[in-house]
Amino acid sequence: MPRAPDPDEDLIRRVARGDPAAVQALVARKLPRLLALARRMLGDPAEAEDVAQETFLRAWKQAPGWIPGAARFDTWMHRVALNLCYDRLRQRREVSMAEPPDRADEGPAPDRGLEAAQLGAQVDRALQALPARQREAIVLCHYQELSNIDAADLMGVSVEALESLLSRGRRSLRISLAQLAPGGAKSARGDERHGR
Amino acid sequence: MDAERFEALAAAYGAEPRRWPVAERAAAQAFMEADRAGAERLLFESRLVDAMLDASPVPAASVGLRDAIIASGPQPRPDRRPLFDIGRWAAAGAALACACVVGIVAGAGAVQRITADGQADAIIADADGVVVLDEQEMPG
Repeated sequence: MPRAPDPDEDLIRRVARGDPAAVQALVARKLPRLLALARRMLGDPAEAEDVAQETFLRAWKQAPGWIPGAARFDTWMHRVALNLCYDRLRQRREVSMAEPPDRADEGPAPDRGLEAAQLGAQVDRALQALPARQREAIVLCHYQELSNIDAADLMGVSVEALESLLSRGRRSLRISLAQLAPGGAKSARGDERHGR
Repeated sequence: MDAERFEALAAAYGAEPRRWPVAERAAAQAFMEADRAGAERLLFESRLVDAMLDASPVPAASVGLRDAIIASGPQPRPDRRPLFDIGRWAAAGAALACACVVGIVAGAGAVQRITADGQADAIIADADGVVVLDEQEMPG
């Protein structure tokens, strides 16, 4: 099946010519997505900004030699950003061998009621607690809304493997965030008992 | 699509049809239409997880970051013309030729005018001389 045309193709051609309006348009279009990807993969705003900035530096170098058709520019940018995220996660692992990380905040009790910001922070912590590949699958499919084929391609796995990572990741989230949903804790515990 | 596959889809991709694989979306939606209550039961847990995931805040890019990235972008390339631009050389040649023609015409006109003026002066001078001579030669 022929690939759909790359919606960024014309923009990249203009970026390669140094058209200032195209540079601004590409940043406006991609920066929020890439920043969100890096922020959710790394859980650190400053590191996420560094990753976004580095991804764009590479995009500026890539634009003049970009050949449309092989891959979408958006997918290529995602791949660069993910690689940069994994570089940083590897560095963290090396550091954590020397000093164990702080325990994640358990958060407020379920009956206290949560502000939206606290709830968001809890979800982010739960995401960070997932194995990196499960987190990557959820970030690409849920937040970045990539197709299953594009996400699997980016991750270098089959669609079946992607589905397995997604299911396991979502199940872990449901268990770790069970106290946030009415009746969720009971349901999640039941799932654990039944090994689902 | 059977209930088992529908449940597996929801467990992996969530409860929103827009996130389901394109190849299976129509079949999954047909399954939902056929048994809405049953499908909703299967989607319940996935809806909870979707809602939890959606509570994660969307990070906003700061103006400083945006400006720094734009500033690092490629600069407009200078308009580089080839050394032997035939059109450019032809235009320059034509302009030079025009200037030459104008110069020659103007110069020739000036010479002609000077010559004519000189001749006129000589004729007048000659005529004056005759008159003087006539006056001197005439007895009082």
